[in-house]
Order: sequence, then C-alpha cells, then structure tokens
Amino acid sequence: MKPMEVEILVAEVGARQPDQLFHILYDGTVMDEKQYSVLGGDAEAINGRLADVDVASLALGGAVRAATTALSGPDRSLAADDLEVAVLSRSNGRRCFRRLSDDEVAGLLAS
Amino acid sequence: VAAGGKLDVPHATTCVALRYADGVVMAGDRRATSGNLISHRTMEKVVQADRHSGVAIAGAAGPAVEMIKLFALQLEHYEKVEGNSLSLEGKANQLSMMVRNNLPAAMQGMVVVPLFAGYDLLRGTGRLWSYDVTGGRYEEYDHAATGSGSLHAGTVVKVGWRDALRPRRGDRARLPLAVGGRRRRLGHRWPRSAARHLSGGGHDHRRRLAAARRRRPGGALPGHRRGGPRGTGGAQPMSMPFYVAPEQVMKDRADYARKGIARGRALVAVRYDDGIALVAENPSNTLRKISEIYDRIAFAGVGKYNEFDQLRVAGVRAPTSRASSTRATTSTRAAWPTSTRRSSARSSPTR
Repeated sequence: MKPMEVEILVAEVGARQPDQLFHILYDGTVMDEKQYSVLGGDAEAINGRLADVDVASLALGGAVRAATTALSGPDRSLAADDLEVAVLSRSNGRRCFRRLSDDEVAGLLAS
Repeated sequence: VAAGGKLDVPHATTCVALRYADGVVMAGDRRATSGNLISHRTMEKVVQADRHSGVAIAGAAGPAVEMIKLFALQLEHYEKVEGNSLSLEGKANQLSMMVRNNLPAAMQGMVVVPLFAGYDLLRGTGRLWSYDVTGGRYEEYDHAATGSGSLHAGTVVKVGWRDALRPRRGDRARLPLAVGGRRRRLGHRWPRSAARHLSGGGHDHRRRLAAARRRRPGGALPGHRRGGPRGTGGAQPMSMPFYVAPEQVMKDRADYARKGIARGRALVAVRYDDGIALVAENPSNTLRKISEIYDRIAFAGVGKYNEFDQLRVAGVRAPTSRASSTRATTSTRAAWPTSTRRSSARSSPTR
C-alpha cells in the first residue's frame, strides 16, 4: 500500500481543560505540542522563526501576524489572498470554528 | 383531549419576518396555545438555523421544534462535510422537503408552517420564504407572516414597511406591536454590509434550473458504466520479488512520504489569548487545508489533498457514526448475540 503523504494537525480549544494541539505525521507518530505547531515544507526554518516570538500572550492580530511572518520568511511577504486563516475561538459560541475572510485577514495583517 | 375528540397539542401562534437594509428581522410572540387556553408564555419560535439564516415557526409546537433542530443539524453537517455552507436557496429547499415530509402528520392536525429567512451572501441582501403544508416554498420580497395571528400581524407590518428600512428605534418598536410580544433579532449575527435591493431578475434560478434540465441527456445516468469489466489480457507469469530488507522498505516509504510533504506549502497553528489561530499558505479559495471537525475541534492538513481530505471527512463523520452505533447497541443488544449464535450454529455443520 502507498504510504500517506500527509501531515495533519488536530486542534481543540478547551472549555475547562487547556487547549490541545496534536501534530500527526505520515507514519502515525503523534506529537503533543504546547504553544504552536508547524506542518509541511520548510518546517524546521519556520519553527526556528516562531521560537523567537513570545507567543504566550498574543492577541488574534499578533498571532496571525507572527504566523504569517514565520511562514513567509525574511525574503518574501504573503498577502491576505495567499493565506487561508481560521480560528478556534472560545468566544464564538458553541461552534468555536470560524473562517476569516480575506478582508478580515488583510485588516489583521495591516494593524 | 378536547371534548370533540380532537388533540389539543400546544400550538405556536404568530411570527413575522421582514427585510430591512442590512438583512432580515424575524419576530414571534412568546405564546403557545392549546385549544383556547394559553399553554406556554416563553416559547422560542425564532431559531437561528446557522450563521446566516433563521427559522420562525407556527403550528404544532412539538413537531415544529423537532423539525428546526434537525434542520439546523443538517445545515451544520453539510457545512462541515462539504467545507462550504449551502446557498440560501438550497437551505430553503431543504426546509421545504422537511415540511413536505410532515404532510401525513399535518393531515391529522399537526400542521407545521415555518418562515425561513436569511442573508444571501451571493446577492448581498436579506431574503425570506414562506411555506405551505405541502412543502410549497414561496419567496417573499419584503415581508411575510405565518400562524394564526398572521392576518393582523401581516397587515401591521405591511402598513409600516418601507423600502430599505434602517433599524431605528421606531422600527424596532413596530415589530413587537405587530406580534404582541418580545422582539428577537437575528440581524446582529449577520454581516453589516450595505444591502442592495432585490433586482427584478429574482427568479433567475428557475431559468437556470430549466436550462440544466434541458442540458441533461436523456440517456444513461452519469457514472453509469456500460459493458462488463475490462479483460486482463491473458495470464501474467508469476515472478518472485527481489528480497529487500524490511528496514530498507520502511526507509523508502518514509522518504517517499516525507518528500511529498516537504514539497507542499507550510501551515502554522498558534495559540492566542482566546483560542487557536490556524494560518496556512494556500492561494486556493476552494481546496481548503483548514476545516471544522466538531464544535471545539479543527483539522488542518498538508501534503496530498485527496488523502488528508479523506481523513477530514472521516473525522467529521466519526462522532455521528459513534453516536448512532451506541444508540444501536442499546436498542438491539438483545437481538445481536442471538443472531450471531444462530448463524454460527448454521455454518458449523458444513465446516
């Protein structure tokens, strides 16, 4: 059988328990990550860039900007329409998941 | 049961919906009646179906409440599996089907007649529909009312309605006046972009539907294969594979997978003060890398799209199938062991 060429992330925001980030590799290895998680190509470099950021006390705008600069690296910049952004927000009611539109992302990146 | 032998089930009474500049307002009174008695004073008849639409109900309260709960669940499930929500018109059709399925109950007096309204993201305007017992679905352009008091409530709304109403104090006061109850507004959840007026071409979907019907060939259904399976073209000589060390096999497989993933664009998840932000580099607007699995759970994948998409759909369906299988075990626990024992007893003599 062909091995799966995927890496997935399952994230949960806790109601009472802390948030959880599970990063699952192509061979089924599960990694429980604390503050942030990076998947896909060039993961080591991006991990290094995020390690410099203090992600513990970020607001949404800061988190999106930090993630975007880490993704793009020093040599290029990513605009809102190159990005797909979604949040799991505790203040979103029962369904915490919400996809951000390009306009919202552009607003967050500009602020 | 009333004297005439008729069931006096609680009935939700009156609801109205009207379009205003930024969307739609739906309102209902809080009262349910059984025959000529008031059976409930704090009914919730206006229910949010999903982020951009709502349902208001009139008729037999029991089936109506069940219907809209199921309706909301269906919209949610569709949205999770497909990664996109139904169009507003699709939602209206779905509700139409559910009302039609209630027809046998309606013939026995359990009539459910909802109003459906929502903000159409494609057209950038609020739209509303009224229904009849048979599932008939009628788009109303400005306002609609349903239920026993709809005649009067509808008249009050009709008199006060103006094009592109703004939610000012006076307009807010007019609604409770129409239905004699407390107002419940869905508009605050809807995007606040400026609404356009409904254009004259409001029925273009019918034209499109007719065109699609004309286009469809009269012959076989799509995906229907003709003829038998393709021949394999004679027997293949059997060959022995070369011996490869298991470590080498595993390493090759790992390299293969890793290469595929490393080629793709990256994705980052970062915790922030109110939850988790997921950011992916993804120029496509339709092939999503990030999606919703359950109320508090998100899924993100990189690598081969079709492979992580399969995993995603399995994740969306897992809670549903688990819920239904636990339900099945409680109801068929007695039946299961006996039937398996019987089948094994039947098969053992032949062995």
